[in-house]
Amino acid sequence: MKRALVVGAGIVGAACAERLARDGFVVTVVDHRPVGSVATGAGMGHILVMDDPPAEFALTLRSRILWDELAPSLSTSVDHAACGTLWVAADEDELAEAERKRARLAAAGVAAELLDGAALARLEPNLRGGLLGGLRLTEDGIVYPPAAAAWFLERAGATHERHVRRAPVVSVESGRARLADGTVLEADVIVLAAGLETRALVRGLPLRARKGHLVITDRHPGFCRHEIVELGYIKNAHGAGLESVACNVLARPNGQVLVGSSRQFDVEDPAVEPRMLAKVVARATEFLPSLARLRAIRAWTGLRATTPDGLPVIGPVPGASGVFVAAGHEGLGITASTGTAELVAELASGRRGVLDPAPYRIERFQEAKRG
Amino acid sequence: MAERRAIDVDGKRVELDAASTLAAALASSGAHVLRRSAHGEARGPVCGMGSCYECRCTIDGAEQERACLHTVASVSRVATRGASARSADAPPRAHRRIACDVLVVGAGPAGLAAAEHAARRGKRVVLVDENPGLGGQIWRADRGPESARARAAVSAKVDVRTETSVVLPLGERRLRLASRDEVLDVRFDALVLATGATELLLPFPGWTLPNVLGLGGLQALAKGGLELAGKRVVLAGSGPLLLAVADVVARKGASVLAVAEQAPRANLARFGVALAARPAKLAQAFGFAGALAKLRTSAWPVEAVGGERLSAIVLRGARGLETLECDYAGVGFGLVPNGRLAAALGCALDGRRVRVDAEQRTSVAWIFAAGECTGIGGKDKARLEGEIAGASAAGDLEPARRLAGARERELAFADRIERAFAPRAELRTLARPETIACRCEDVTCGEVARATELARGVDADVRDAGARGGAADAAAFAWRTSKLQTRAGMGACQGRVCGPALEFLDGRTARDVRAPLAPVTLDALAAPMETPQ
Ligand SMILES: Cc1cc2nc3c(=O)[nH]c(=O)nc-3n(C[C@H](O)[C@H](O)[C@H](O)COP(=O)(O)OP(=O)(O)OC[C@H]3O[C@@H](n4cnc5c(N)ncnc54)[C@H](O)[C@@H]3O)c2cc1C
Ligand SMILES: Cc1cc2nc3c(=O)[nH]c(=O)nc-3n(C[C@H](O)[C@H](O)[C@H](O)COP(=O)(O)OP(=O)(O)OC[C@H]3O[C@@H](n4cnc5c(N)ncnc54)[C@H](O)[C@@H]3O)c2cc1C
Ligand code: FES
Repeated sequence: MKRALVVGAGIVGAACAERLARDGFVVTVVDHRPVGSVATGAGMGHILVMDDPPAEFALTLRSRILWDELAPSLSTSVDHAACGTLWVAADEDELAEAERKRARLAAAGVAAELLDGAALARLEPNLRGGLLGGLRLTEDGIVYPPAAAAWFLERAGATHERHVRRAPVVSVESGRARLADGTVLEADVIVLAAGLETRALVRGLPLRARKGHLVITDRHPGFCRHEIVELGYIKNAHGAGLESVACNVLARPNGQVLVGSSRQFDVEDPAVEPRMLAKVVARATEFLPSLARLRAIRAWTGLRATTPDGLPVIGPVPGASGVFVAAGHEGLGITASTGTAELVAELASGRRGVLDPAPYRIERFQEAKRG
Repeated sequence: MAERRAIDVDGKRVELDAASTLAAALASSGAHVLRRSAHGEARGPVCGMGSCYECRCTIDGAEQERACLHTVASVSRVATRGASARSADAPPRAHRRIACDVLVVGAGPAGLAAAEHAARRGKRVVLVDENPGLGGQIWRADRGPESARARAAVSAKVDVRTETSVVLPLGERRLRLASRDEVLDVRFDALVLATGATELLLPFPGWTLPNVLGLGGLQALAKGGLELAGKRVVLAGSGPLLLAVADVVARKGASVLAVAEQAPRANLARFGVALAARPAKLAQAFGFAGALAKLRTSAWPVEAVGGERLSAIVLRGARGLETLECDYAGVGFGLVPNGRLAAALGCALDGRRVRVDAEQRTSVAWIFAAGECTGIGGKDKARLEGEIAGASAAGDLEPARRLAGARERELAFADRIERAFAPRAELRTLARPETIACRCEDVTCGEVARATELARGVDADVRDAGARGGAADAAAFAWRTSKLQTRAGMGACQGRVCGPALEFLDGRTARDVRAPLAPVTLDALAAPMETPQ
């Protein structure tokens, strides 16, 4: 019987554990914190297809398909729903971008509907007047991330190990991992899915923190139906500006409204900053003016783990056979957890799969440096 | 005859007593169900003071407003039970910045004293409270000379702002406040926290039925205008509040069927002896002879029965189980210091008490605390600590020295109360797996327990960590796990009710107070930090 050890019980580690268990591995997961309590507990839970750049498109599309396959068996606590995404255009440039997105999606066989201003207003009456139009993807969805992580672990039948030792992993080599309390755990396959902190376990892994703020409201059923994102979000997420905000509003199935989001590079203090909170809310209310009347009950922050090219790192660690990394998913780790897990499982058993592993390899950073 | 006011309730014109709180007036008019829970259960007011969030309804177009924090006089239109009546056309709130020397949060006996004594020393004082009236819990609607004097002392010299919540910390010596029509960024030199206490409400089958309130909740509604003449009332739980509430409701014409104190008689006797040296306290705690006649000790509630509202309560006591048909039940197991704001501002707590020194200074140099939030000890302790805190905040440390002895005596009294009325172990076994633990999100006790099991090994782990990393660490781990997995503690009240309850039941402890510090409409968060020059 082959043994796998997964370091990190966030959604990425949990999804890897579940996928490896399906391949017949006996899986142990180690984490010194509660399941899904770091980036996973901070995430909005939007499952969305991002159509550019191509490697992000391939990973998120494959991931969404896998989420849809899992959907019927997810527990009710995962709260999975197909809310769809509504990309909103405020100006002509953004409208042109909506059209380009539609074309790219269509080329890959993903249906997306271009809307004019009137159609947009009919779909989401709380949007401000005067918006030019948008793009609607009906199959994007939402989950409650920490419960999804727990569900994956439950399915993986991960052993008690993962919690009996509440000590972090301090070092890893081929076939073994050492914990802070001195314990050594042995395994044929080791997956490093420790989120941002994976940078402490893999030398030269170029992960940077990108802090985000979110606010959640009390229940206001019927306020909006889709995840509403301004098209400017893409510039914001892919941009290299030190600090930015974009309208990103999502109604949970229970009527609570999640309001985001911000991005700050290299800020690692988790404190809620009133200044950023104000910017996030002000931006969202520009698009949804009556949001101002909803009651906020809690705000929080999370750190996204970003890489220099914005793509996650998924693949073998050079020089340590049987050791794999799965980290650096920026703002897409909830979505991409399923595709990442599939790719890790394929690499671990030497199978060829749907995704081309090349764009996600860790070596790309070394090559970029040399080249 | 009290003034009546006609308002629109769910589309019907209803005449209510204008001076009552909305929650009390609605209950008097027969509207016992104010909201539907996540799973559609009927819910009504519980705490009467803004901390349980069970009285939420749509008030003048604003959704999820707490009915107990409004007076009928200031309301025109109410929609209950989730009927959506949101209006987008509310006038925008003004955003202003002000400065003062001392900001006092909480206008109970402690906060009033602090404000008075800081103002006497020539300081510019702002006093805020989220409730509509001054006086806090004990002086709610009180017309007695002591409270009148305390109120008068602040009315002239202090900038008093009621129905105002603290919503955001804005860095050192700055807070954002919000009222119905204003967002206020306040800059100050010193802050006095006099945030009082909340009640320990413990889950038992049926505890979520409308008309099962906290003891203090029933008292607050009664003082807020709830009509009780001829109503049958059962009171249960623990502590001096039990008899105080019996007194209040009996004076309003209710027939008190039983007063069930969970502590054994011996504890009360010991407490009584301790009080004998302090006649004023004795009168305060045991002043109601009628309630004493109804008092049974070593007795506690095991179930509340009803459909859309309470119809009977089952007590366990010396006579075994007894079912009492009633209209209202007040059930509370003691008080819990309210250190939320202190914790959010980084002040150290001991358990739930805000840690203070002899000057009432917290671990943060510019923040002082006084009253129940530093430990449950009643009004006299609150007044005394308020005086010291107000003076210390104004830079005068003489009262801290002069009153040190009196303060020590009050603290000793507080310890005796805590010991005499410590909740018994049987209270941990009242809830069934299907009993609701988190009222905001409708999470059951069974689900909370399962959540820790679900992430298998966590229970073993918590015990383990208890031995290794410290019990506090383990308790926080358990709270975080069940919160993340079940959403218990993530709802509107942010663990104000289920936090202390779960801590009593199985030790898991909430220590995560987050912004906003009170639920506010989003416009109050969107206001920019600096006003443009
Ligand atoms: C504000 C915000 C909103 C977001 N919204 C979305 C969204 O809507 N959709 C989406 O797809 N993504 C979203 N994301 C991104 C998503 O949350 C992350 O990409 C994802 O959660 C990353 O998961 P992870 O498992 O890699 O990391 P984490 O959840 O951080 O898990 C890592 C785990 O590893 C453990 N660990 C760390 N070091 C060690 C060690 N040495 N030994 C053992 N264990 C260790 C940690 O304790 C932790 O539990 C959002 C992120 C933020 C911040
Ligand atoms: C429900 C209840 C009922 C009580 N009834 C009695 C009684 O009948 N007899 C008796 O002797 N003692 C009673 N007590 C005990 C009582 O608390 C003390 O005797 C005394 O009132 C304590 O004074 P205080 O100033 O410390 O607190 P409180 O009187 O509780 O005053 C605290 C004030 O702070 C305000 N506040 C809290 N947080 C915030 C915030 N974030 N922003 C703005 N305002 C805030 C509250 O609205 C409240 O008005 C009761 C306590 C409770 C909790
Ligand atoms: S009764 Fe209004 S908040 Fe508790």
